[in-house]
Amino acid sequence: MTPRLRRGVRLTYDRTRRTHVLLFPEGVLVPNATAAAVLELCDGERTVPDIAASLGERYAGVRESDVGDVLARLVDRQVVEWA
Amino acid sequence: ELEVWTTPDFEEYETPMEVTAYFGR
Repeated sequence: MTPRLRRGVRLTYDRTRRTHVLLFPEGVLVPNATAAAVLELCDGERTVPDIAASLGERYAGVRESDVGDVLARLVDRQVVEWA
Repeated sequence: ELEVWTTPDFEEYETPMEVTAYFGR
């Protein structure tokens, strides 16, 4: 399964607060740096192991379980879906 | 050069009042 942002959901960068923001019809979600990094890789092509491997090139100590857990929460919030 | 991995997390602003408050900041 490969995660992707649902239709109508947009990841953008808030220059004022220097943080990423996920905009969707029902509200706003503010991810921390690693959650934003995960979201940036949710292109509907990469699997969770792929995403964890990509993050491993940027971060030390990436846990694939963390990636899966945050994606499960984002799916629960209906901002990410499994393609 | 690697950054330290921290547990991915996020804050939610779902009600119109919360969203307005967020953009107000």
